[in-house]
Amino acid sequence: MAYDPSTTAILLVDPYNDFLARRGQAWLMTKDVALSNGMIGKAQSLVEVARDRQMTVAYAPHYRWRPNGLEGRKYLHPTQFLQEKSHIFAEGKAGGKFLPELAPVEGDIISSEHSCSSGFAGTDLHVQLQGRGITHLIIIGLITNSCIEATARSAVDLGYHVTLVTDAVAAFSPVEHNLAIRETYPRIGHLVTDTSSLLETLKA
Amino acid sequence: MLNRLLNAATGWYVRRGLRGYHHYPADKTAVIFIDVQRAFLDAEQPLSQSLASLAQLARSRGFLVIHAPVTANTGALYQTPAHRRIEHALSKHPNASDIAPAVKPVPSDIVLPERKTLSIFELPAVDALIEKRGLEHLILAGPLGDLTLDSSLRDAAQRDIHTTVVSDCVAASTSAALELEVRYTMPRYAHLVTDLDDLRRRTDQ
Repeated sequence: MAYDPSTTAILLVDPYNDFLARRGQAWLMTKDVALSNGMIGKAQSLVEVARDRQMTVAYAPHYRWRPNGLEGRKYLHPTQFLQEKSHIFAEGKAGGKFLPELAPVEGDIISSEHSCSSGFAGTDLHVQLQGRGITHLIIIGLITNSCIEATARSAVDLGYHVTLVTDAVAAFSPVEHNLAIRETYPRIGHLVTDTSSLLETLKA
Repeated sequence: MLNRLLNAATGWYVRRGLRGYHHYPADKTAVIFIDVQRAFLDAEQPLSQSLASLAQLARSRGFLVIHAPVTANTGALYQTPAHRRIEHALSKHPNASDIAPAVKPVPSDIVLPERKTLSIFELPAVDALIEKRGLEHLILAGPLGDLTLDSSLRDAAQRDIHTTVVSDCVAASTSAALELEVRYTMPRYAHLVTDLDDLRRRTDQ
């Protein structure tokens, strides 16, 4: 299929140092998949081509930990519980910054932070994308079966056409990654592809 | 190996930390049957019996029972394979969209309007009901574990609600998809993924 650059956005979910940098808090958990499929370089290639084609590049960042940021919440969900203990993606710290290779530039959309996993839930992402007339999303980043999948599920319910890229995402373990791209992505995404094929399509 | 150990340790730590949440006061707890419709549930399946037992348990404990049926997303600009599968199953016979006999609604149950989305939370009626009834504990079950239940669980996790998934009251497109959901993905969102017997013990008064 062909993508109209004026209505397509590459959406990067949570490309934080804590996930992808060698000193990141969760690197020991994400590196098995990220290194074996080369997702950092592939995501970077997709973003570069998207910028060349003047497509919208959007960022859906996870909530950055800050003291008392979740105060008032009665039932922390598992991710929040862990974040409260580990301070992952801490605001103002290296871990809560975007990996330099995948960092936004002026003109990109940066949505408000999502507190759980979907980049759309409780954020202004949909409003910002609608403001640019976006109908098609190519979703890449972290985590394969968590924030990427949740964002894709929300996008589908909101009426977007969703493309998922099997080697531009990574999970906490190879088994989760492999099961998700084999079992879930082909059912909930409109198109599932790999970086090489997608680059060809985008450059065509 | 290290990766597996880290995942196991993290999972254990989270489960331990969330133990204090697992209470189910009758007036704040609801069981939501997501898409437990004739189209998706064969009466002969073990799942049918499990869902019937969960309905019985819910009513015996005084929990609100909510039925959340899905309908075909006909006319949508972009349909996913999940939507096409749902549409196909619902078109098989005239009564396919009916709530399955295993969980047949009783007058005290709530039957939500049919929705076209994967997540039940796209219906404003769901949040309105949660607020009106003061619900804080949702117990989720249904035959489309990897399609609609997963989406609904993720959206429930966004809210300040304690969520439980009953693993033997969930099915999925394939056994591998079910394994991914119950063993790996759902524990990242639900406060508790457990089975019917354990839930029975936890809610025993």
